[in-house]
Amino acid sequence: MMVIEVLFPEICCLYSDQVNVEYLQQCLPEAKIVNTHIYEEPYFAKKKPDLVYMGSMPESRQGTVIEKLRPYTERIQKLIEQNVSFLITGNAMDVFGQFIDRGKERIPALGLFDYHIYQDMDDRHNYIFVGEYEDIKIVGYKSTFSQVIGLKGEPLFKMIKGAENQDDGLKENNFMLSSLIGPLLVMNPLFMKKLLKQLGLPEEIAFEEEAMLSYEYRLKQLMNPEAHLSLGSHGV
Amino acid sequence: MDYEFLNKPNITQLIIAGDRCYDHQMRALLSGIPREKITTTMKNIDAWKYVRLDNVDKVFVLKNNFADHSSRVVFDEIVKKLQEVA
Repeated sequence: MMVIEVLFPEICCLYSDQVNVEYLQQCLPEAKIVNTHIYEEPYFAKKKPDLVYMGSMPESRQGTVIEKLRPYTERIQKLIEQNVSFLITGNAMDVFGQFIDRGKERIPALGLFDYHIYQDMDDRHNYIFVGEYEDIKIVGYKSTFSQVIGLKGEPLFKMIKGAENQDDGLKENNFMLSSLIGPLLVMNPLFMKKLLKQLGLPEEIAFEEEAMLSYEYRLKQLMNPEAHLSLGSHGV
Repeated sequence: MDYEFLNKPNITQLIIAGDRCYDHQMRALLSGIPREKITTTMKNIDAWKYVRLDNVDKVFVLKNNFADHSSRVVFDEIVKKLQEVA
């Protein structure tokens, strides 16, 4: 049975990121969703899930999540090497770099990848993103206090259009990090199919026709040269 | 945005109107609302055209904060439609 582990859904639940899990469940009704709460040992600590998902969280809880995961850093590295799929979205990406620099304090992160985060809680960036993943286009939004610095390796999404001249995320084997927020899989049915293929499953998704309508309309809107790249700071 | 509260057998039709109608349709489907109950239109002002009044006791016009004018038009057109039926 396909096992999808969702890390800390009670904390990592901002921007409707958890709708990604709802959509996975709709696409894979036979899959077992394992919700791991912050006080529990992760399922992946002793077993091998097919997919681990973690979404956006309040910046104030990032330290808690990092310290919860720190004892499992080597295990995560091993799972990456074993091609276990991870999908990490929004500012959950901050957890896996070297450190989070908040000016007056520096929070050591898991150190699995070379980048670090500069975080300014007085400077929020909201903007659109259109990118490329293999042969498909990705649409999404960012809303973040974090800037990713020193990102090396293969980006998850190559930028086609965005307010910051920067690719998004990172992919190492089947470990996928993206700073895009919200229901990424719902908004990108073609990426959902790619994920299913990566998991060795048929590329059959729920509500495909409706999802494609939404995707194609958003892609057309975002690719319009007159579309605003930046949605303003603090949501203005 | 929650759509679960609209997933009830006594709600027979859901018309989603406006620029983001396809996104809301996906949200409604994910909440379990049957596909056949859902109608979408990009023009929010046209929503009234799709209202089916047979075997219906109440029609609700739910709007966002920026749709005062169009929702008023929709409301007035539904009232006209009701008067024609009566």
